[in-house]
Amino acid sequence: MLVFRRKVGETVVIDGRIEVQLLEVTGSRVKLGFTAPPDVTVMRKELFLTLEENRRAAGFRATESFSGLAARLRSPAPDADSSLDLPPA
Amino acid sequence: MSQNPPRPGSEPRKPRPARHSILEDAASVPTITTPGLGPFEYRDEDVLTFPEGLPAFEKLRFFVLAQALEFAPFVFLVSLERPSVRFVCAPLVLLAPDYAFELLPGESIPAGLEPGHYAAASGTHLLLAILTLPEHAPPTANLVAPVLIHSVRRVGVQVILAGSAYSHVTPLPLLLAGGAPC
Repeated sequence: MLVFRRKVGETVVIDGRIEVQLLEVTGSRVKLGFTAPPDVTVMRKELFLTLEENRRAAGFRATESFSGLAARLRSPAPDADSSLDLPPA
Repeated sequence: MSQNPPRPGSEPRKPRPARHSILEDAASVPTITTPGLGPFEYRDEDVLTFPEGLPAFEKLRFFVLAQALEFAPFVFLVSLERPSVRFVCAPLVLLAPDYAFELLPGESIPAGLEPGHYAAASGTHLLLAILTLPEHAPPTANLVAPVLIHSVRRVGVQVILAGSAYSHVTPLPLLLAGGAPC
């Protein structure tokens, strides 16, 4: 990993077209500003991971092993009600 | 009420209810079918509004919380607008009973939900984990991004936790064995 030390207001340039500026440091939190062309997507990593994970999750195939997994989860008989009825509005 | 969200079920085209041979009047009960699953009967209150959609599916706003005894305790979030999009979910109270997080002001919070402390065990809201079930690998749960649903307002959001000790691919077997959900 490439490591730079930067002060508030200083900037790093990536690939000659993406700028990352250190805007503010408050305790353990750092505020960064990004300037990038429209074709560059910038997002928090946890959002990126969830975005990819959601795509994978939505494509699951219902198989017998899935039903089996549900049955195995049921067998320890968690005392919580398996129905998730929402109360009436 | 400053905002009047569109009535769930009015804009999106609902799938044609499946016919039941035994009960003719069952045709009036809406059902939703998603590839390989269903049809699931659902009620109006099972239709949830996600004003921001879900990451990667931002345009889908209405999801049916579909459940069936044979799949319990899993439930499904099935897009009313595009029923081929569905998520297998499990209540976090079953996977990680101590699960809790802070929804901070300034986060992306849709109308109908407030910042605050949210715990897996609650009567006012429901926390679900979206599961990924690869064909040749153990199932995992995304504990970095819980689905928060207000039980009364029926509004939901997938919260993206920052700096969480949890993993977006927590192995389900580990959770079921009571292992550390990290």
